[in-house]
Amino acid sequence: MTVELHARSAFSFLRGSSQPEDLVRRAAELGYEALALPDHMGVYGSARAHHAAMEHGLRALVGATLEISNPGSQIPDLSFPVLVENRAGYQNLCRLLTDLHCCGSQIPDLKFPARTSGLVALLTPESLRSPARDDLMEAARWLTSAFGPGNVCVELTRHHVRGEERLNTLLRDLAKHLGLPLIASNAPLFARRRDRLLADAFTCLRHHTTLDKAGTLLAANPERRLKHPRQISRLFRDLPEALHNTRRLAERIEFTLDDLGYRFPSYHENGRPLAPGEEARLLRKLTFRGARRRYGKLSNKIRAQLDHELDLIARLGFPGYFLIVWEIVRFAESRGILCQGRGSAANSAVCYCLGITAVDPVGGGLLFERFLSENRRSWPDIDLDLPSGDRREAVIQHVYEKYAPRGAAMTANVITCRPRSAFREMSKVLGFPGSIAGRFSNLASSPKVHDNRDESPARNHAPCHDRHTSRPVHQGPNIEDPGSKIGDPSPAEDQSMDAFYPRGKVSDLEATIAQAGIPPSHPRFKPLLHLYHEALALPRHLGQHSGGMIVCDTGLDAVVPLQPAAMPNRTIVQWDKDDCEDLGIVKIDLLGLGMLAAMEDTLRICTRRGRPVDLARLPKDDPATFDLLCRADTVGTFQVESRAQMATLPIMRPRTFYDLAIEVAIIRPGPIVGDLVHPYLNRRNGREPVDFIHPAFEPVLGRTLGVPLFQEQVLRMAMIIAGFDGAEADELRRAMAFKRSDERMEAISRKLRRRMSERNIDLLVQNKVVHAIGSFALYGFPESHAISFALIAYASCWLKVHRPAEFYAGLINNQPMGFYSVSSLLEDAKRHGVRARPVSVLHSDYETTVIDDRHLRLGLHRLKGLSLGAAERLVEARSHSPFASLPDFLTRVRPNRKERRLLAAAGALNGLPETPHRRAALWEVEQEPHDDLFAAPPTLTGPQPVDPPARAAEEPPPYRTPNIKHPTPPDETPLAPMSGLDRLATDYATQGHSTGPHPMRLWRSSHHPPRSTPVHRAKDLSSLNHGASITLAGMVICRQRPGTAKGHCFISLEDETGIMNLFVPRDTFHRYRLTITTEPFLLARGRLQIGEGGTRTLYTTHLEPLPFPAHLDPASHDFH
Amino acid sequence: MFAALHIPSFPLAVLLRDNPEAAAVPTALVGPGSARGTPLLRAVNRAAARQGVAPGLSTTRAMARCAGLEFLPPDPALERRSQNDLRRFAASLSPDFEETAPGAFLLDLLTLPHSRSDPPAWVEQALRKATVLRLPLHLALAPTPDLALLASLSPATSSRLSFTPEPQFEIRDWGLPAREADPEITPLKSEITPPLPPAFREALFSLPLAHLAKLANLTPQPEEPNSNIEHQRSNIEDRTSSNRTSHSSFILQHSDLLTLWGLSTLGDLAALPRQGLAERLGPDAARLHDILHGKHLRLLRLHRPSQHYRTSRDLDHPLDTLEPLLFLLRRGLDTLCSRLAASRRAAAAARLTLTFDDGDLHLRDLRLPEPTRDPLTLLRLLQTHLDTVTAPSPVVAWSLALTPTLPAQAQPRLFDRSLRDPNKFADTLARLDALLGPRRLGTPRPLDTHQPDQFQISDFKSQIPSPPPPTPHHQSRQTATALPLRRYRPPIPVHVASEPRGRHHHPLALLTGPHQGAVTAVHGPFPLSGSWWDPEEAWQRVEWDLQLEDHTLLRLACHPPRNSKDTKKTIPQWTLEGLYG
Repeated sequence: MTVELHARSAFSFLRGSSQPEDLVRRAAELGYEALALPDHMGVYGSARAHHAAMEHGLRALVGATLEISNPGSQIPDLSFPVLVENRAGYQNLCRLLTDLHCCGSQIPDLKFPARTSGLVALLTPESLRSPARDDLMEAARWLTSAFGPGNVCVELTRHHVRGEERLNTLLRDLAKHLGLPLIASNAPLFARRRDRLLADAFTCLRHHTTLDKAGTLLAANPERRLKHPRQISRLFRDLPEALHNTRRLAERIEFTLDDLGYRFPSYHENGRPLAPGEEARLLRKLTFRGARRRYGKLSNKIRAQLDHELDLIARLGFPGYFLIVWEIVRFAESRGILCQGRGSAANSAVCYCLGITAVDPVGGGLLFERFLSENRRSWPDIDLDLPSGDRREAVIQHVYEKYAPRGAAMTANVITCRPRSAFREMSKVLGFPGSIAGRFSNLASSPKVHDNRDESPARNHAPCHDRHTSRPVHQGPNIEDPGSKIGDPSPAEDQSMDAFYPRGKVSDLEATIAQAGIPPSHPRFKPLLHLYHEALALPRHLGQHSGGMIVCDTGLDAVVPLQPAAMPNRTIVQWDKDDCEDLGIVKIDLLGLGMLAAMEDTLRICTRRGRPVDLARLPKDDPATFDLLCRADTVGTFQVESRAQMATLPIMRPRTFYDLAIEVAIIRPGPIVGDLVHPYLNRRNGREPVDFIHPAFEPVLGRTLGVPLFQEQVLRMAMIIAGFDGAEADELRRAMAFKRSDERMEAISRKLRRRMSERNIDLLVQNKVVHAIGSFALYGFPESHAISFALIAYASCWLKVHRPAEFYAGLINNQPMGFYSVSSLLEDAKRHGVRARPVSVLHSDYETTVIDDRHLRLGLHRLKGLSLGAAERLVEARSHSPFASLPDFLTRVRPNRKERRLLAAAGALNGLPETPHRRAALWEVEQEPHDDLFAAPPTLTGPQPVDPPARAAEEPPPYRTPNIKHPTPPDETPLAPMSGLDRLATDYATQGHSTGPHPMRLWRSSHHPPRSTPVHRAKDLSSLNHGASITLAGMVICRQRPGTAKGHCFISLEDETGIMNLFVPRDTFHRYRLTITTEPFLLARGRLQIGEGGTRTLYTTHLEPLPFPAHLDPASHDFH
Repeated sequence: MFAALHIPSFPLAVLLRDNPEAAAVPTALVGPGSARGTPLLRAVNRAAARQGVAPGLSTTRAMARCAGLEFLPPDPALERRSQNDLRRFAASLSPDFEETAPGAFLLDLLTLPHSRSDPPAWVEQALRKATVLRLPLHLALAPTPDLALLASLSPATSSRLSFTPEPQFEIRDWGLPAREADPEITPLKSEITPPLPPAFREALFSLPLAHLAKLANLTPQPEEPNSNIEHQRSNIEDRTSSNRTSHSSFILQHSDLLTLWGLSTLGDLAALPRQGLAERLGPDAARLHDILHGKHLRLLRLHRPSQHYRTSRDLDHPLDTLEPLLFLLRRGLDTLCSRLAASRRAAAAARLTLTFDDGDLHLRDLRLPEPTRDPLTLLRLLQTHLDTVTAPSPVVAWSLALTPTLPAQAQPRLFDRSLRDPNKFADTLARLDALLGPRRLGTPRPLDTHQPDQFQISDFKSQIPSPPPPTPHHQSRQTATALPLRRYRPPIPVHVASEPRGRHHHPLALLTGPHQGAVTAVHGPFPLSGSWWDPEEAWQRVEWDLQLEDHTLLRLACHPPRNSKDTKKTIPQWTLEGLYG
C-alpha cells in the first residue's frame, strides 16, 4: 500500500501548483491507494479531491496545514499538517480552522482533548522556520500535549537537498526520544516534474518578487512532485519503519467526505424544531391556504397536482426545506421587499401556492419532475431573486441572524487566474514591466480572441472559434458536431488536447503578446507562454458566491470551515457551490437582481404619486406592451434589452406571454451555438416545416415547434428516446450544469448513445439528440426559469409603456445595472416624451424623483463625489427653509471645497439668487467662508428668538445660521457663461450624462460634411434602401464580440435620434481594432443591411475616430 | 529687455535633426508613462499631429489614430550634446544668460546696446547665426524674463528659424521699448517695466492657457555641487527657484478649475481681477497675474563657464624615468589643488593620460576613497599606479584631470566602523589592483542562488558596512554540511566511471584528477537547477559527496549536456568541486 499524507494542491493558494484533480489522477496513475491533501489553512480542495478520488478508485484523506503563531512560549510560529481520523476529528478540524480564520491572531486553546480528538498532527521538517534542536523539541512537546501522545507523528522528507539529512537526523532522534512514530513523505507541491516552473512562479508571487530576484526562495530542484512508489521506497529504504508507519497511519484514518454528517435544519415554530411529520402537516396547511388565495376555487387537477407534490415532498423528507424558504420569502414580504423564486422551483405548484414563485405551473403545464422526482435524491434547488443592494442584504442578514452563531454562511466562489490577470502576474514574475501587461489587457479587450486555455478542458467550457474553419470549437463536452460527424459511428471521445488548444488560437495569442511588446524571439517569450497557459484557471484566492447560502442548525462550522468574507458581517464556507452540491449540502440562492430593485423603486414612486401598480395583477395580454416588444423599443427593460434581443424581437414578434418566455430563452449562447435560433424563427414564420426529430417527441417539443429550447425538453427527450429514468435524467442535468466536468458529459453522452442504439434509434436521430444536449451543456436554461424571467421582463415592459416616468426614475436610482448607461437611458426617455431636469439644490432630493408624467428631477446621487452626508444636510436644511442665496446655502450646508466646486460645475447651484450661471457659482464658491470670531458660537438650533411663539408665527423655519460670514457676492462675475459644449463636457465629467442636447447634436452643428458623403442619423436609416453605401457617426454605447460571433464585432452607436447598430466583420475588426476599442466617438462607413423584421445594420467596411470638440468620456457597455 | 531662445519639443527635435526619414513620417517621442505605467507620448512631429496624434496620448490610442506612427525613445546623450551646442550659441549672443531648461535659454540684453537699438536686426542676426545648429528655434523679446519665455513658446509671438530643409526666417517686430541700462534700478519694483505694446500684448494674451503649464516646466536646473551658475545680483535674495516651483504646483493644482472657469487663453487669466484671484487661489495666482501684465521681474540665474581642473604638458624632452614625471605631476597637482581650494571643491577622481613616444596612450581613471585636495595624497595615488606601469617607450606628453566635488565634511560617527585613513587604504588597494589586474579586486559576496560557488566582486568601500542579518532562506546553506569544503577554483574536470541509475549517473570511480580511486561511499545525488526561465542562464547539475578508498572526502559534480533530453544516452561532464576537511 502506497500513500502520500502530505500533498498540497493549488488550493493552498500560491504554494501548490496542481489542481486537486490532477494530483489525484497522477496518484492513481502511479498506483497510490490513498492521498491526503492538507492544504494550507483549509480544506478548500478536499471536495474536488474526494470526487476525483472516487472516480479513480483511491481514498482521498482529509486534512489541513495549520499555521499557528506563537503556540508555546518557546516556539515562534508553527506550521504543521493535521489529518482527520474520524468524523469527530473532522468536526474539530472545521471548528479549529473557523476559529483561526474568524478570531484573528487569537490562538484557539488546543489543550482540551475534545477540541483535537480524532486529529493526527505531523511534525515536519518545515514546521519551524529555523529548526533548531530545542525548538523542535518544544514544538513536538506542544503538539503532543495538544493532540495526545498517540496522535503526533514525525514526518521525514527527502528532496535531494544537501543538508536535509542533518535535519532528518534531528527529527529521528527527537522521535526516538519522545517515542513518536516516524512517517515518510515527499510533501509534494505538484503532480509532475514540469509543474515546478509554475510553483516557482507562484513562490515569487507569494513573496512579491521576480524570478531573477527570488534566489533561494525558489526550489533547488523539481523533487517536490508526486513520486513513483518505487522511488519513495528507495528513498526510505534505510527507514522501513517510516514506510510501515505511514501505511499504518493511512489505514487508521477512516474518514472521508462521504461521512460529512450534514443535516438540513428542521423548521422551527415558536422556537421549537418540528418533527418531520409536523413539518409535512404544516406545509400541507400552508400550501392549501395559499392555493385558495392563488386559484380561488381548487379544481381537481390542481388538487391532484398539489397532493402529488406534497406526497413526494413528504416522502423525500423535504417539507422542512420548503418551510424554511417560505419563511425567508415571508420575511422579505413583511419588509416590503420584492422577492420571486425562479429556476426549477417554478415547476412546482407548492412553491407557487406558498408564494415562493409567481409562475402557475399547472396552467403552464410545466414539468414538476424537473424540480423534484422520486428517483432523484438530491435536494431541490430554489433560487430567490431579490432587489440588489441593501434590501437583499437585509434578507441575507436575516438568515445569518436566524441561524447564528455559525449556522449560516455564503458559499465560496473560487477566483481563478483569468487571461489578463494570468498574463499580468506571469509577466511580472518574469521581470517584464507592467506597461506590457497593460497593453496586453488593452489588446485583449475582447477576451475570446485568445482565451484558448481560459476555457481549459477541466475548468471552462465557453466556446471559442477555430481560426481556420470559423466554426465554434466546443471545448467542453465532447459531443460531435452534427455537420461534420453525421454518419460517423465512432464517438468523438478520443479528441486530443489539440482540440482544446487549437494552434490557430495559440498563434493569435502569440501575436497579441508580440503586439504588447514581447517579440517571439525574446528569450523569455516561451517561458511566459508556458506559465500563462499553466496558470490559467488555477485557483488564485477565494471570493464569495453571488448569493448561495447554506444553513445548518447544528453548527455549520462542524461541517465545513468558515472564514470571513471581504464584506462585513458575512462569512463564507471553504467550498464553492458545486462542491457543496456534490457533498449534499443544500444551498439557497438569494440572488440580487438590479431590475427588481428598480421595479421596487418604480412601484414605490407609483404609489406615492397615487397610481399604485400591483405586479401580481398586471394583465398578461396588454397589446401596448407587446407592441413595444415587437418594435424592439426595449431599452432599459429586463432581459430583452440587449442588442441581440432587440434584433430578434421584430422577427419573433411576440404576442403572448409564452412567446416572451421563448424570446428570453432563445437568445442565449446555448441555442445560438447549437444553431437553434434560426430553425425556430423560420418555423414560427412558416418558412420551414416543423420537425420533431422523432415522432415520440411531439408532445414534448410541440410548444417550441420541434426545437428543443429548454432543459426540461432535453431531459424528457432523453427519458423518451433512451429510456433514462429520473436519476439518470438528473445525472444528465448535473453533467450539463454550468462549469462542470466535461468528462461527466462525455460519459453521459456515451450512455445516451448506447441506450439509443439498443433501442435501434436511427443514427441521424441519435446525432440530433446528442447535438441538442450538447447545445445545452454550456448554458442550459430551464423553461420554468425562462418563464420566471419573462414575468419580470414583461412587468418591466409594461411599466415602461404605462408608467414611463416612474420607470426611468426607478432605473436611474439603481444604477449601475443593465445594458445601458444613464446617458442612454435619458436619451431613450426623451424619445418617450420624458425629459429629465438637471440636478438642483433647490429641487433635487437624494434620489431621482418624478415631477409629473413628462418630467423627472435628477437626484443629488448623480453627482460623482458628493458625499451622502452633504446631500442629507442639503435636503434637511432646505426642508426648514429655502435657500435665500448662495452664501446662505454654503453657510447652512457647509459642503467642502470639492463638493462646492462639483455642485457649481454641475449647475446644481443655478437658480439660487444672484447665481445666474454655472461660472458665476464657480467664481463665488472658491472663496472660503470665514468664521466671525466675536459672534456667538454656532448651535444646532441657531439663535433663539426673543419671543419664540411670536417669531415662529412669522418665520416658520427656525433654521439656525451659524456665525459664518460669507462675502456678499459682487454684482457681476468676471467669468463668461459656459458654452453648450462646456456644459456638456462638465455634465459628463460630473455626472456621466447630460440633460442638455446630445453630444452628436453639438457635433453636427459644428461639422458640415460634403453633400456627396452625408453623415446619416439613426432616424434616417428607415428611409434608406438595403445595400446603400452610407456613413454613420455616433457615440459608442456598446462594443460586443461574443464567443458565438465567430470573431465578428457588434457596435452600437448613439446619436440624438436613436441607436444605430454596426456589424464589423472579423477582418475589419482586426484592421480597426485599436480604433474600436479606444475611441469614444466613431465615424463608420459601409453598406446598410435591412434584415428580417426590418432591422437596420451597417455592414461596416471602414472606421475612424470622430474628432469631438470637447473631452468627453462616455460610459459604454464593452465586451461583457 | 530679455530674449528667450526656445527649441520646441527639444528631445524630439534633436532626434529628428539626425533622422530626416523619421521627420517625414508621423513620429512621436515616447515618455516614461503615466502612474499606471502606460507609456505616453511626450512630443509628436507635424506629420503625426496632422493625423490627430497629440502629446499626452497613450501609445495604444495613438496607434489607433495613426497606424504607421513611428515611436522614438529619448536619447539623453544626444540631448546633452545638443544642449552643450545651444549653450555655446547662447554664450556667443550674450555673456549674461540663464540656462532655463533643456532647449530653453534666457538672455539679458541689458549689456547689448545693439539689441536695444535695433531689435529686429539683432534677432535676425541671431537666427542666422543659429542655422549651424540645424534645429528649429524660437526667439522672443520681452521686457521681463517670464514674458520672453512665454512668447518664445509660440510661433505667433516669436521670431522663428525653421528648416524646409533650407533655413527659413520669420522675424517679428513688436516695437518693444528697451529698458534703460541703469545700474541703480531695483529689479523687483514693477513700476520700472514699461507698458507692453498693444499688438504684442494682444498676441501674447491670445496664447492658450496651457502655455502657463509649459512655462512652469521650464524650470532652471537645480544647482549641482560643481555647478557654475552665479546669481545675477549676489546681494539680492534669489527667489526664482521657489517662484518656479510654486508656479508649477499652482498650474497642476488649479488646471481643472481654470478650465471650469472657461479660461482658455493667457488673456482670460490676465483679465480677471487680481484681488479676486488672490482671494480665491492665493498669492501664487496674483504672481502669475503680475507676470502676465509684465509687472514681475525675476532674476536670472546666470551661467558662467565651468572651471577646468585639468592640466597637461607636451614635454620638450621625452622622459624615460619615473622621477622627473612625478616631479612634473606634483607641480600640476599643486596648481589643480589650489584651483580646487579656491572654489571650495575637492577631487573625487583623477584621470591620468600618458602619451608615449611611439604614439601609444596610457589612460587610467583613479577613484579616490574620500574627496581630497591634498596634492601629496593625490601624488601618492599616482605614484602607486605608475610604479606598476611598464612604458613601451619614453613619455612625451601627459595630462591630468580631476573631477571636482564637494569636500567631505562628515565627522566620523562614534559607532560606525570606518577606516582610519581611507586614502592609505585606497593606496593599498591600488597596489593590489596593480598586482592582480583589473576587476580582480574587491569584496566577494555570495549570490542568493542555489547555483554553487556563485559570487560577485563588489568594490571596497571606505565605510565598512555591518553584515546584513541572515534571511530565512539562507538557512539551508548554513546547515548544509558540518565539514568545511575547500573548493577547487576553477573546478577540476575529471573522468569518472559511472553507471546510470534512474535519471542520474552514479559515480563508481575517479579515473583522472588529483584524487583517483574507487568510490567506497557515496552520498547523493543532489540535483540542482535554476534560471530555467532564461535560456542563456539556465543551468543544471547533479552533485555527489563521495569517499575514496584512501578516505578522502570529495565533492563531485556531474553536468548533463545542455539541450539533451535523454540523459542516459549522453555522456556527462564531471568536475571535482572540492575537498572536505
